[in-house]
Amino acid sequence: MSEKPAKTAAEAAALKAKWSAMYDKCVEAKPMGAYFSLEELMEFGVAMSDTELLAICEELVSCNLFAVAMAKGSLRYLTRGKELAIKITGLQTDTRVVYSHIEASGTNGMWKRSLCQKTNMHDNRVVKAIRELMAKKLIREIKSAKAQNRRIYILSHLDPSEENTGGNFFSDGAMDTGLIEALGEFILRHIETHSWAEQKVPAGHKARGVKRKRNADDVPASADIEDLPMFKVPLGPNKHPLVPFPPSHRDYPTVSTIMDLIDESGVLKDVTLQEHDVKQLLGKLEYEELVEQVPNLDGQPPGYRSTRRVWDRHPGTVDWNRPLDPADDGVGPGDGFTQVPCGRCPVFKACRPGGVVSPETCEYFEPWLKF
Amino acid sequence: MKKRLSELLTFAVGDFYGEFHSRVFGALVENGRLPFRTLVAKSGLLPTQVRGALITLIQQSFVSFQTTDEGATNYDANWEKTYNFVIRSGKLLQLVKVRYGDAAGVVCEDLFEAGHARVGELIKERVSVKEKPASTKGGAVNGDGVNGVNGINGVHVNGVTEPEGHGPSPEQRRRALNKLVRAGLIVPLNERDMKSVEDLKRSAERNLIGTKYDHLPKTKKEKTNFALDTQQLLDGWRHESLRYFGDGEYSSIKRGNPFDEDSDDEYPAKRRKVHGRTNGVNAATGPHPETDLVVRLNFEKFDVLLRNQQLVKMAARYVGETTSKVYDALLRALETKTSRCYEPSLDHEAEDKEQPFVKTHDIVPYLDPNLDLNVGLYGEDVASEMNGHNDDDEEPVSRKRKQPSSDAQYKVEQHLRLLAYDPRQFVQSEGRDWRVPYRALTKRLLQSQIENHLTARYGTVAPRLIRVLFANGRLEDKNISKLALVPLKELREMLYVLQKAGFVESQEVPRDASRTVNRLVYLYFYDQIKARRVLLDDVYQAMARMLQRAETEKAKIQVVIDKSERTDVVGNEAKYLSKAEKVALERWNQTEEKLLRQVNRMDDLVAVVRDFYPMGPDDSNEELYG
Ligand code: SF4
Repeated sequence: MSEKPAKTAAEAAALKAKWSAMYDKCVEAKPMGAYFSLEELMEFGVAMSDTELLAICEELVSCNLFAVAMAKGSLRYLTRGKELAIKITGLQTDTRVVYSHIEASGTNGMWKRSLCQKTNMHDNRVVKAIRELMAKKLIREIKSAKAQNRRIYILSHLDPSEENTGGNFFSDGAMDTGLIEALGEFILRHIETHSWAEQKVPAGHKARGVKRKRNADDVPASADIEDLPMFKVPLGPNKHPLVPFPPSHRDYPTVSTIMDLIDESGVLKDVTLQEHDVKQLLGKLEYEELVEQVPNLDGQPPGYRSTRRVWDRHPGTVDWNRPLDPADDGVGPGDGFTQVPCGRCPVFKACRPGGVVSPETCEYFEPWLKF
Repeated sequence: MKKRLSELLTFAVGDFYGEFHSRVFGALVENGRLPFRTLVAKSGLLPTQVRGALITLIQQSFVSFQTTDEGATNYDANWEKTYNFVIRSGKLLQLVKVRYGDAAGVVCEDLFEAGHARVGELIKERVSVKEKPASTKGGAVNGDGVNGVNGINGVHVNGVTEPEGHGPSPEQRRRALNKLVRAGLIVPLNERDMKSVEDLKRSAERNLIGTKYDHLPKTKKEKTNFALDTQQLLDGWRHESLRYFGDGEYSSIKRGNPFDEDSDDEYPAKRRKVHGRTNGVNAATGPHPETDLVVRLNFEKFDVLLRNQQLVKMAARYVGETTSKVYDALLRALETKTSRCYEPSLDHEAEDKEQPFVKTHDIVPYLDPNLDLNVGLYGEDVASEMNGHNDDDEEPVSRKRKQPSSDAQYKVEQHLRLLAYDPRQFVQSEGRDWRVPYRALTKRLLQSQIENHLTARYGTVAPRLIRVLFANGRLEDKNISKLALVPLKELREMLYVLQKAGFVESQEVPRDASRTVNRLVYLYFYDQIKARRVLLDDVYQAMARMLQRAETEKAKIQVVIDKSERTDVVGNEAKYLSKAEKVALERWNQTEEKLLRQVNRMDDLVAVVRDFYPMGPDDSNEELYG
């Protein structure tokens, strides 16, 4: 600094005009706290050369209107409000350093241990700084879904990032299963009513009613085994079978129609759902095999339809761990193995013929074999 | 060989043939290949007893033998063939009966019992007609239910319905046999067919070392090439025994196929049209042109049929019943072009690119004529949909023709399109040509079978986690939790259960280069092949338990059973058996039926999990973890 030639008053005034112009441009372009790269700043056309640009930035930093940050491997500046700048100017050096590190971490926040490492300061000094910042309400402590025991600090006006909250479905770092289930059920209901067409029975086929029935849909009590449908046929509101829409069908719900629906319905009070929240929920429903994606032939984003429902779903699927009733083959999940006692036997691994646990003496068979 | 599988097979062999057979088979299974002397020692039997048992076991291909250059003979158990005979025969016979008629069922049954036989022998009139009630035959797993013999239908399939108690006539047998040969279910026996899979592989390898290679492969690349060459040689050998219809030695008979004497297949009129053959030749009356040919059952082809059944079931579950029947017709139209479930030397993408096509009008003849094609389609809207904005139907012309056949074709295409646009992609189309991406689809089938199994066994969270891992590869528990939206605590509990059962695995990886312990990450992953092995092992054990329990139950009332089988009692049950005895017998019959039906169903699971898709590491989930 000392080697630099002293600025003349005129120069200083010109520089001040420039940096306040630069600041105004930045605030105009992006919300407060946003990042700017040098190229972006250059484009505002305030600085005429690289040297001048750096000089301007330096001034802004020293007034605490700019903060320095590294993002994506290169130098960035971020803007601060004027009031904030004044508050910061009043801080002790240690505190100011800690603040700028927390600030630079953005919505991710920063862990106390990392603060010590980055600032190269002793624990006590950092704690003291944090206390001061907390008292001035410049930062706050958050719980992170990532690491629930860590104390993470973040600027008080920022909302913690996805990574910390885990998204809208987490409160205080824990999963909000109530919200997830309720909303999942709401979405599923909606998708289900738009997924399958209720077959209208063509008039000409009434005469062959018997045959029709045997072909697929109803199950006459006395039907031959051969004619029984392999799966329970899902029925629509008018008790007619549900059949797939033709491939040209375009009206399956999509992420955006589902978002609109949620907004309009007002089911959510104080949460604003983002697109990725809805996607996350749809993902969950897909992993549950309750819904599936249907390709859209026009190159639009795929729609969602409910997976053909051939057995009853648990209401709300809250009772996660209860195995579904495997007794009825074909109309419930399960196979030849899960239908027999051995398929759910607690001592399966220990069982062998002639052993302490053995098929000859097994008591699980008695009730199962009863007719 | 796997412990559970050997336990199951050894037990079932004993059930069929008695203790000596079981002990000989068991000794081979337990110890691997053995020379005669050791076999005698291990089985604890007399040499004559062992010899006696070996005769049947070899005739049935349960055991194969090789004589070394030094003249020593070794014996080896052949589990694949054994499994098909002792566990699956009931199911296969049922399938044949439903599809090709009762006479075909009888021919197959005879061939099952004989292992292999001359054509002349198979079509000969039987002097004594065996009358077997469905369930007296020890542990023979007999179709799906009591009425295995009378068949669930077999009525409309063809006109061959024999009066009770009489076997089919030689002419019926002959027709049936011809049908089965044309279907590829019965094939000429080749010397190599008597060998076990491992043996064949060994001799292919020996063959290569002498010719194309002068040393055992050492580097990884050499090994890969060597494995590929081995497979190709095996494929070539296999082709030799199968090319009955092709350009092989048999085709010298100008008329074409000697088994093509008549073609009254399932839907005769249409069938003839399919082949474009004007084949008015009635069953010939002279001796069969191939009376001395020795034939065997072709289980590879049976697997194709079984797989198609399962694919149809999957279509019924996800799309609809009627559509699944159309799918069945498509798969049957393709059956003649599919000689086995997969080509071991091709990876799945390569194989699916080469799947054969079939045209819509070639599918129609395979439809059940009673099937109402309107069911399962979104009725009246279909036409307007098609007239409206449907751009990818290339030939709207056909719709305008009002002939019934083209109407059927149009409807069939509607159903097929539902299948093609289903997320599972049951079929692919190019205009009016349809093909089935069998390999990809089978993998899906297999996976959904596993998921279905886990749902029933552990509840709905388990398959959810498996799907997350299957779709995303290796993941930390936190990330699984986010994708599946299952709270961490619950998730960890379920992961623990699944890991203990062997369906999920985990791995520790350092988070960064420092490799310090507290920077380790636990990644969970799902290996489909491993899961299949675990599942199979459990199922084999449960199957064995069913058979073992059946034996226990039977022993309880053995006295009554013996009495009921006495010659003076048979036919006079009412007179000689007390009420309590009848009740006990009835109860035993029901018990056995219930136990065997479950074995049969478990075999369905085994087929999907084991037989339809390659099990080897060469086809591991590289697309997942690559
Ligand atoms: S036989 Fe009984 S004890 Fe043994 S595995 Fe089966 S259920 Fe369990």
